[in-house]
Amino acid sequence: MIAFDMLVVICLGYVVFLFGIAFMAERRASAGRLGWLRSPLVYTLSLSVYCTAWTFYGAVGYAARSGLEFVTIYIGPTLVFVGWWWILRKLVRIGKTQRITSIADLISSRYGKSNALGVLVTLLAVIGTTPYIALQLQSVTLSFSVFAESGQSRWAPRDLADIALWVAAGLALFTILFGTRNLDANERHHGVVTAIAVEALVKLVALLAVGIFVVWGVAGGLSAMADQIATSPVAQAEFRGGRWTGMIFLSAAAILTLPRMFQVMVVENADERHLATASFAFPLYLFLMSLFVVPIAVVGLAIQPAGANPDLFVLTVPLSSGKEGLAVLAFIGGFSSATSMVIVAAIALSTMVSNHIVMPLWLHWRSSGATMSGDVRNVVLMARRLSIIGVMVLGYLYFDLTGGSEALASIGLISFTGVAQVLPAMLGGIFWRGATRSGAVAGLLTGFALWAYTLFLPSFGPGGVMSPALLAEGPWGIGWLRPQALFWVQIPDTLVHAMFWSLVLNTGVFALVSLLSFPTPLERLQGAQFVRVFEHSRDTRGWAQSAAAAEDLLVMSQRILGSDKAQALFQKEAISQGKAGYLPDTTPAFLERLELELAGSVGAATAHAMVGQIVGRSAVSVEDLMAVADETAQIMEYSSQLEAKSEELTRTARQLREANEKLTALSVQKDAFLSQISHELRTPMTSIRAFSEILMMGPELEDAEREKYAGVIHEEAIRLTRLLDDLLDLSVLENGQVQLNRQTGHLADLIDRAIASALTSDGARLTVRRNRSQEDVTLYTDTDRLSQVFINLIANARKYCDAPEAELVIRVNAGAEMVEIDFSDNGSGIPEANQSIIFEKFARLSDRNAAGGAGLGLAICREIMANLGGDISYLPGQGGAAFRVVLPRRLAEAA
Amino acid sequence: MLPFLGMFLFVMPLLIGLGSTTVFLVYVFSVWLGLIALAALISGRLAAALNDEEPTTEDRT
Repeated sequence: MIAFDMLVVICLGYVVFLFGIAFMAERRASAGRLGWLRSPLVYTLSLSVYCTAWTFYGAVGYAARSGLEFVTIYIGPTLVFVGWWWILRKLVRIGKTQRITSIADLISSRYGKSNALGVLVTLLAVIGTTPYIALQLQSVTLSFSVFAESGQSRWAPRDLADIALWVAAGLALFTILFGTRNLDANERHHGVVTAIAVEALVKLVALLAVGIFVVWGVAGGLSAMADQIATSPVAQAEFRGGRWTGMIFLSAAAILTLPRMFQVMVVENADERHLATASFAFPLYLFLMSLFVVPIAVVGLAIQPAGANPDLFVLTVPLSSGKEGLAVLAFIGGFSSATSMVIVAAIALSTMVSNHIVMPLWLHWRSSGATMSGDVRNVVLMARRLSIIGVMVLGYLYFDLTGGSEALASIGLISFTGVAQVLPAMLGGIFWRGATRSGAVAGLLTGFALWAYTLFLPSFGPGGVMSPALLAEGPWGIGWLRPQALFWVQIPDTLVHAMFWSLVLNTGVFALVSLLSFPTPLERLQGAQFVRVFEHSRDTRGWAQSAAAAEDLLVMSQRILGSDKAQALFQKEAISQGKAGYLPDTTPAFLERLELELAGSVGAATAHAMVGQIVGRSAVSVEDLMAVADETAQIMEYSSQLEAKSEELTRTARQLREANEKLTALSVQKDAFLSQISHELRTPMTSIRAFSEILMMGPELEDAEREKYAGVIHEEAIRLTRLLDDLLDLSVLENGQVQLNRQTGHLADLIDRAIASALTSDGARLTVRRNRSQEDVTLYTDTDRLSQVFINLIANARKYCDAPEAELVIRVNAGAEMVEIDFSDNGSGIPEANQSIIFEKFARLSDRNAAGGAGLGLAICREIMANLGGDISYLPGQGGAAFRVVLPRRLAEAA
Repeated sequence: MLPFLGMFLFVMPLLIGLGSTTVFLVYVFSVWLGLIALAALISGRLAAALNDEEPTTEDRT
């Protein structure tokens, strides 16, 4: 007999293997080598998360107790996948277009981005999934107990509940490590999905191996097996037609509404074409998983002692036949089934809890709202990690409270019925435009309450949560309110009773209240988007034209999406609007796109609330809706060609307007420059003339005076030369006649040199903060010219930063080809109106004497960077003035 | 229509009598396999139809 501690070691080894798989997949994904990670096979195998310990162990127990009824759990999903893939496709399409992160997000987003609905579905999912997680812990614990009881181990746990606790802790750790590594805007977890695909293969192979052994190794072949089935207690099990049909319906509903299934089916879907493969491959997987369930149950009942737990036949049959290796394989298969379910369920629930409960509360409590300081991503990630721990604790407590006494199948069915309450709101939301938020809330509350009253609470047993008297006579003796005989309707099966009343009344209330209530404008918009997702492009707007500052939106977006993604998004939008820089106009279309991007990270309702905090009252109104409708009707009258031309003209007009504004500003600046340059030239020239006249006309001057006047003439001449040098330099750079001196240099050294050069005069006034580890970059470029750019930027920070404690932060982001160097100070920055002209010649925004120069520095920098194959730009939304220098690691040789 | 056909075939034994458990078992698994085979046939056309449409793959990673 295999030692118990050896089993623990094997188990830990398997977990380490899974960690390795997940880690490798994450690395491939982060390196952009997605390849097979996004194959339909991996997608299909990840769907096997439907097959939990309930399937692996519990199906055999189910068959031993209730005969063939167990297949209904697989037939429901099979029917959905083989024929109703278009429902799944619609869900996947909606998930992509609306950046849906969970089933709660789907319902919340559909019904006007209502966070109340999000909270309701989240609570329903948490409560409905808790028994299921407990079931997994129970199955792992039971499987450990089989080995602990039968082995001659040197160590065995005193209390098997300890195992459940350790398993829960280990799963929480895995989920936190690979489910919350970062806040991915599309919520895909390549590491977890790949590990689950591997687990899917392991559990399939394990169950098939046990089945083949049972049929050909124990029973003696197919015909002997058929004879044994015919005479076994399995064949005598009572067959109930109502339950058979109800269970098929229930499992079909569950495949659509289980949070973990929604996670792998919709959120983790990389390509909706994968559904074509899954439409037959996933049913085939289910078929294979259930192929040997009856034989194992029949043989188990025949060879195991009376009273043996049929839920464990998959383990005990090989063990009692002396096949320890097969038993260990079966144990690993069961362990895979349990862990994959718990991991995905924990990810799905933690996303829901953080997006619909924690973030809205956090936003509400923070008076500064969406524009507060700090990185929101850390808050979201921390909320998710704590939620994962919370979900595991709840599952463990349920397991501990029920003592693991319930049969596995019955616990699973309680969960199925609970989460199935989302079905009316979900299907109504994607197929019926008249469905309203009020209807969804009323239906969900009704279904949820009835499920809890008729099934969930009674599952704790008489005296558990409900007293025996309440179960038998109803509350206060009201007979028609008896939890398991509601409205005097006697349905022998408590599950069918609960399913019938909860879903019928849920659907009825949902439809009735929807018909009686009036949807808000946003609900109408979302309804149209969801119901007509295949026809609709995203041209209906959830926002009206806003005067919100793009910079405020950029600041908020950076804290949710991260600086790089947010800046790329804003820059792309600005370019599409024909604008330069990072600040596009806050058009309704842009606000909609931005909200979608944010929704991918924090959910639709939270994203809507955050954008709403900044744009204020510009959310769409009834009048806007009417305007949109009118506009849409008009647009339909035009040909697409005219529409395209109109857009082109708008873009060109915007570019022309911007160019005109820029030219006007430049003209004003040029006039100012001419005046200034005249002054700059005339002042030294006047001095030179005056002092040279004194020198010529005063031979009686003393040597000291003569030397002093000559010195003044010399200094003024140098000043003139410097000014002329700058102008000449700029001219050479602009004409492309500059000779670049390419050489290899180290970025840290160049920055050292620039700081030393720029801060010689009053270096103490500016504190420079750097991360030297980021600067470990070797460049092949004109290092002297690059240093000139750095010196200019650092000197500008020294001269213009108006913070009491002036500070300059230098950050380096080195990519494979390009290097970004950001220089950000903590001053008041550059006003938005001036940001577009600071790189023009003669631009000088400050009149302060400290400035000096003629306003050529940044213009020279721009030309230098263009010659070095890079770019320099102003970065808005960084708090102070910030410049980004981008250049290639290796400057191409001149042609 | 496949789900309706499947549902009918799975419920039919309830209407006309179950027969022996072994027969019912073989019947259920045969219907199941038949549905999978039909779905596999359809999926080929489905994949071709989806390929003809505008790709919906999101390259956001």
